Amino acid sequence: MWGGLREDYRQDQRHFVERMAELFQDHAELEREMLLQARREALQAERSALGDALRRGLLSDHVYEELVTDVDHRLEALGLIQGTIVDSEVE
Amino acid sequence: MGLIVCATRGGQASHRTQKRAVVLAKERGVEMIFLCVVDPSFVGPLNERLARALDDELRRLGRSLLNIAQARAREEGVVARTVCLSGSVWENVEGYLRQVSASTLVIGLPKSSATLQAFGSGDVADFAERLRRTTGVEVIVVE
Repeated sequence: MWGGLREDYRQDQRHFVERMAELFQDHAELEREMLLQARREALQAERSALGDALRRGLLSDHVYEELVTDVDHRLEALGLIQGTIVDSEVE
Repeated sequence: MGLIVCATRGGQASHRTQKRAVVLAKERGVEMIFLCVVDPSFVGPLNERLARALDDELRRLGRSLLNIAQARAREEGVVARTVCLSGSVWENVEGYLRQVSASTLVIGLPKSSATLQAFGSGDVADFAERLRRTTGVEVIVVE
């Protein structure tokens, strides 16, 4: 039974990978957008984890401020990068 | 025929450019390198920490795009190295070609509306012509 399900999932996976490849072939800029989006989500998760660590007393206020400022700068940097893509696409 | 360098930055022309370089490397049976140069100067002056974060995030994005290109090349049976540099795009590309004694540069001609400034703008055709004259490297511009 598991073998049958696994094969089914593998076929779906192959199908999606092929479709994604076609999509990126036609719209290469999407790849870059998706990477930026993934990075932004990772940084937001990191920021949230820092907040949890502060509340649980695992980080001092000073260390929290230092780390969260770095994450915020990185998020701002992603905004600047994203901005250039948007600006250039509406030229 | 020697080393092929493919300059790429993930824009609209990137897939065609990478594909051309991979096919060429396969046909010639030579080594290839995907090169990405990011230029954080597009935003103007920033405070030191933000400037460092921008440079770091641009490099990270560049490395990710290079890893994807490398994986695609591997699927075609081509082993490619990746290099991500930061600074002036044209100067870095030219310097790197000299450094590795490349014989061919494959570079994309982005549609103007989709040029990503952070990955360097400028006239690709002019650059290609100058590079041919000054270095003798074969430059293939993919449209």
